[in-house]
Amino acid sequence: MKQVFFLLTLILVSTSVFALEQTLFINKAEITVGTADVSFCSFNETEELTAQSKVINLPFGEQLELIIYNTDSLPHTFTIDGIIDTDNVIGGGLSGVFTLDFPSEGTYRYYSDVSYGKSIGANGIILVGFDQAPNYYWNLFDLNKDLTDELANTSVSAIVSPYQPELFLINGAHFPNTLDDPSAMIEMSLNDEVIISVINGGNMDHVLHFHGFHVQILEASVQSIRTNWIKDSVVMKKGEALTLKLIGNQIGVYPVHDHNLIAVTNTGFYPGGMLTQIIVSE
Amino acid sequence: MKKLLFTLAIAVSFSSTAQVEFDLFSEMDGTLQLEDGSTTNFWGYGYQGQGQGAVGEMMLPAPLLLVNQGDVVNINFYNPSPESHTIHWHGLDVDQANDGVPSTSFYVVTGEEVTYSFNATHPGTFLYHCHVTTTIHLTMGMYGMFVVEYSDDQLFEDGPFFDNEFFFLTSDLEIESNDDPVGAFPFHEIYPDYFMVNGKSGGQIEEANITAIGTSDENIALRLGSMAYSKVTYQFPEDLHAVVHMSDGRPIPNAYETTALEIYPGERFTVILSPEDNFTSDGILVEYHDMLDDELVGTNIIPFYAVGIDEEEAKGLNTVIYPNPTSDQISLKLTESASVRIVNMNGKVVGQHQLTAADNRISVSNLAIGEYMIINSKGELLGQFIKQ
Repeated sequence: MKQVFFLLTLILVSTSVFALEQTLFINKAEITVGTADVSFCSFNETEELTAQSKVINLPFGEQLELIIYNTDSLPHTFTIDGIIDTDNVIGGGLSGVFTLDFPSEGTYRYYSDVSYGKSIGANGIILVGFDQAPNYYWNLFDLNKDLTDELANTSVSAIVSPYQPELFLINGAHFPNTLDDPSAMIEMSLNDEVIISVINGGNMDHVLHFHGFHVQILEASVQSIRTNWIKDSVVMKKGEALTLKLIGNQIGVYPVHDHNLIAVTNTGFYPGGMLTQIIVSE
Repeated sequence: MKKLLFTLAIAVSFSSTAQVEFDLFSEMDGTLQLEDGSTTNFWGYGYQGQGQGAVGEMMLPAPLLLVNQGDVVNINFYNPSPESHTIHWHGLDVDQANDGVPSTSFYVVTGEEVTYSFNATHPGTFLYHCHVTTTIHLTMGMYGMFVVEYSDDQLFEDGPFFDNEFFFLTSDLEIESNDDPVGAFPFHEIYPDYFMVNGKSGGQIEEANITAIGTSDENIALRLGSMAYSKVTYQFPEDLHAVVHMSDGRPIPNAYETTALEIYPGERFTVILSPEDNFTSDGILVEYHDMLDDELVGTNIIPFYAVGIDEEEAKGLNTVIYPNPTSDQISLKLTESASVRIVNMNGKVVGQHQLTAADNRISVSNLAIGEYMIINSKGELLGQFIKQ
């Protein structure tokens, strides 16, 4: 089948003087997650596939200048809800250049809006602003290995019902490996404040329960009514991006985990999955 | 087979002192009667020491614990069951030692008794549950609701007032897993097929007196929490004017009226209903949606009775309450079995009991001094007594 490839350059008008340049590679291959080999797709800084897509920190007011190389043989999109739509296709083996402005501080989810992209991991975080405090990042994802393989090779074109996920990931890893990720496990001093940038790139809703603390929802892309709510159980709708503020007001080690308790397992074994920790020290 | 309690049992602390104490235990040999008359297993907690029939009885859900803001809370927890358990105080932001997570706090092994201690710093609706192999211990039934009151008629400082309040804890289970917990593995394949409000389902709900009662000149607070694996959606009739004021034990900055409130696993909300004049609603639909694909998998209805408490109705009833006044317990003679609430003179429910058509004894030693009404599930006043 003849494929149509094209290079798309999008330049948006901006009054900003500064711009952050970033190169990304869309990589798709098999990768080991925990003990499982699964098909995966990510936006990485190099042509080496890692399960965690690149996290981009952008000062508010600056432009983001992206060059994206698609190493997959199939076309992908570069999509950010409310910023850049799904018409922006990067053909297989080709590249695209994007210059983007962001209207407000917040967490943005970028993704490839094709079933062999976002549904097998191609979701990443851009945190705009909120740079007054240390930042942590949680990219939530869930998958069923067999279904992911089928999505990757396009033998199926969508999540099929009944969906039966068996791996639940934060930044491409599951517990206890989440504790080895300095972006996933929070270490802070007493009464310090941190920002947690969270996206749900998975194929179902999740709800994160914080032990020991409540967090303030600074902004939410889907449930905007919950802005400034103070919660210990934070709902992440499918596709949602939100920014949380945590003040570590008591010393100790406290779990954070999905309270849909099937998601704190690894292929059925407990504990696992979407589980990390907050450690507050003197 | 152990006798099941048909109501959400309440242990109430209305002490004027700041120290409150509850005694709980856990067991793993409960039998839950399902709506169709069949049974399954459950594990849970029970409350010991106060309330007729509550001593040594394990409940699903576990006893509703009520304290006041500022209380220092001590929970004495005894685990005679064959496996280790804990209690996690969900949303109460307790310190690490009292958090109930085995790996960061401690296990309570078979035969051990421990005391969890914490301050009730924020008013609101919270939960508690076992945090040992949580995926299975929770679906087996080890959970309950914990409420911190700001006062008996106001949700929080400068917050809205209410005339009465009701407590609804939604949950679900997969019958096959409860029938054979060992066979429940793998734990990511638990698909609930039985859906509950305060441990009851379908027609059991009204039979167990799990209702809300109100009139058009009242504000009725609903404290809602969910330990379900499903997403729960409350469908409020428009003429009840449901306004969401709190979530997860904190006031929300933008209280809003809604007809559909989603509650995800572990979330809590406080809603105030203000029924219209001549409102016609007689129930609140509770939907359970599969978290995997949002499919509607179950429903329940919480009856809403459009009746007030007419003291004149007490006249002529064949309810004998003695001694009256009393200091520790009352006895009631009823002509037929009934689910009853004990309500203080501010209209607040402070106790619920399932009584038989005979002599019944109710402990009132934990109630504050004052006058109380006993009301049946239809909102009819059966009698009054004075606690000395």
